[in-house]
Amino acid sequence: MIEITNVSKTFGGNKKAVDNISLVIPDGEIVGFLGPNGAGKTTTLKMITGILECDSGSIKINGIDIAKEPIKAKKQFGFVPDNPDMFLRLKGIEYLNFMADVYEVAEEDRKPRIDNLAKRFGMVDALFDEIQSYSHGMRQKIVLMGALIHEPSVWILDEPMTGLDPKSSFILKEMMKEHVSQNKTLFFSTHVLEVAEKICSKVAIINKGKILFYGSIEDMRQHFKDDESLENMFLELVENEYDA
Amino acid sequence: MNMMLKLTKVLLKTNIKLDKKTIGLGLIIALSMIPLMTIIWGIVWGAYDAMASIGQQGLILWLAVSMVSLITFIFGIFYIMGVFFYSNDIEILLPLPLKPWQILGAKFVTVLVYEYVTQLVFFLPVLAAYGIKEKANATYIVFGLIVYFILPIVPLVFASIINIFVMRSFRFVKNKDRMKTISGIVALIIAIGFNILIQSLTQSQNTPEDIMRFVEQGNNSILGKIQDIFVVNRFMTIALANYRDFIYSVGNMLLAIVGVGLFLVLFLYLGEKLYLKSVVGLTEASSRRAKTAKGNLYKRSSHLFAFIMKELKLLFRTPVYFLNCVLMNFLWPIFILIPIFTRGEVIGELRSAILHLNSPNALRFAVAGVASAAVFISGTNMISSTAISREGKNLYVSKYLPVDHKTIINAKVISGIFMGIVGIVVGITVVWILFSLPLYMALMALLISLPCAVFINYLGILLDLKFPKLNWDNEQKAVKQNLNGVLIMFISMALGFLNFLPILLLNLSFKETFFGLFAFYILADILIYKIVTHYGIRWFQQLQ
Repeated sequence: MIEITNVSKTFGGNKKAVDNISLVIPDGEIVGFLGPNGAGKTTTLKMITGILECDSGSIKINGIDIAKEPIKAKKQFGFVPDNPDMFLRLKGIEYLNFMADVYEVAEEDRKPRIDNLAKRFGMVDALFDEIQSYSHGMRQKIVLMGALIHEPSVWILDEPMTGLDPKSSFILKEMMKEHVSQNKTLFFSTHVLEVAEKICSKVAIINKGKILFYGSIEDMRQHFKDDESLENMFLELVENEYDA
Repeated sequence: MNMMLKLTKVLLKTNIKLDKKTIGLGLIIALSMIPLMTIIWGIVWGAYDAMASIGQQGLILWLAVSMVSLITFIFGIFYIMGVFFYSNDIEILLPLPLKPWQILGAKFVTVLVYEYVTQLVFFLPVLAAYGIKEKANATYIVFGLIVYFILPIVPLVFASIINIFVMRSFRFVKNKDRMKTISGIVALIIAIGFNILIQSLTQSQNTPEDIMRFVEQGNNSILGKIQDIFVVNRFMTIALANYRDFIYSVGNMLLAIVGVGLFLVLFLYLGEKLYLKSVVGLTEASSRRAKTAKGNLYKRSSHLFAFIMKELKLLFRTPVYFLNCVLMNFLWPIFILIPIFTRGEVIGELRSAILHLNSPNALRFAVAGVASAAVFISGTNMISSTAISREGKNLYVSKYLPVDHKTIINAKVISGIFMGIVGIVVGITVVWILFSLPLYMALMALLISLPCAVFINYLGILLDLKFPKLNWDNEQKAVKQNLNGVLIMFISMALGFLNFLPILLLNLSFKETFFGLFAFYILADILIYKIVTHYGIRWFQQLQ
């Protein structure tokens, strides 16, 4: 579970990137995080994962405050950032083993987990190459594998589908469903509304640092009293905000 | 042709930016070249009188033209590799409706411009000193200028053709990283070789016999071959040396120009046929799709060890870091050894000096000297002083991993200390073997070096934590254009001087010097560690 309570963040000047938001991401549900570019999605995810400190408010992951017990809190989640270009000169296998060291995965668990993830994502043949020889999608996959190697109960994914081929994208969606079926937590941002519509049980829509809507897509339909597509509802919400 | 000229203009504009920073940097480089230019000037000035006395001063021009061709050829190999094959604009240029020879021609001109700049250092002093000695007329000046501009073309054509064939033939070379590292090392070896050559030249007496001997040796060696290979050089040299015989001189110059033109046409023709095939498919790294690797792949390590290994792997595998941070550790001993090997008698002198080290007076200076060397080697490798900067835009990754920030910072410093100590051990071993240094002295040298290396590395990372350069688009900028690295280099030089100060001011004995310095650096280490773990970590957390 992720609990975000009255969190704000300001960069320089007065413009608030995130403005007093509160969200509870419960266990057992896939929660999508939607919003136009520059709405505050990545800033929020960065505060949840401890990359940024919040100016006010608190964030708890499985009940552990990220500001007060950062290391214990960070062990709870696996995070996939939006840009997978990291550790490019390590080999895939070296990166995974590094992440296993970081998350203190037992030696005997490593091989089966890496084999399993590599098989599912079709990365078996690429593990012994340097990451910089990978395509964008392969880099995305290796970062995903690194984030999942300690089998975290909370997944936080920033645009995880970007660059994935249809098969890998399908497998990831299946894995996301499996994950929440074990009553675990999943919070991910996306631009692809079809994906959100298909797999999310709840969506949070953010714009200009404020949460405009948080609930199930059904709730949203009722809110709009119409059988509209998520895309239309999203545009309506965000555009009203733009006009305001 | 029109298209080639347009492309040339664009390439020159994008490659050569004339802003304040570049001009400033250019001025610094120019100033640092003055000593070398003075040496070259001096050699020509001295040799001219000697050679003129036997009426053979033209040999100086022959020698200079050959040497400059060789230098152009060697630098050209690397310039061309970078510009023709590893430059980022290739992916943009290839899809455009341009003919290969147009791309090649434009790129060739940009390399030529670099060579003209290089010639300012190596060739201009020769032409100028020779001309002044000759009290030369306008013909010499005009022909000198023509030679200046056409001389590098033929060696560059050779370098280009070799590159194109190599790139076509060897697939492994297409691994950009490996090639950058190899070419960097080769360039360093050439620089060192050149240094030795210059040193041995400056030590000769500049008598006609010396020079004749050099030329005769040259006839049978590289220089003689150069004259055979770059055939047009002969016409240029004759035209320039016989400028007073106008008709003869003009005739030779015309032959030279026509010859250079023919080489250019040949190059563009071959380029049109071969360039595309050699450039297509270049990638950052070739993948091997290997399925096995040595050792236990799944071995578990502590956070600290995992981060140290990560740092070291990135240092060794990133060409820019390898050349500037790793290789640097081993270069200082080599640079120190060059004068020793070019003048054999120095070894004997130093050996007897070291035997006299048993005198307490010499020993205390030796201790301070070793401490200074340790500080200097650890300071100049820049590993710790650029450790945070090297993370660049990926700094955020360290923040979401469940690892204590203190561990991350310590891992960075320890990899710096480790490499520094390896460098120091190599240095001490060389001195130990070459000069029969007593073992206890070698051990003492190592002992005093350790706290020095620790101090300068923590100081380096403290600087980089406070003023990191995180916003860069290529790794070069993280290390080579990082003021923290330069600053720590100056600090280490100042410290090197300060190490001697107490001996001079307080007239300390050998024991006092050794234990004094040792205690000082241990205390300084504790203090700086406290500062880094207190303020440094706070700064790290604030970095975004």
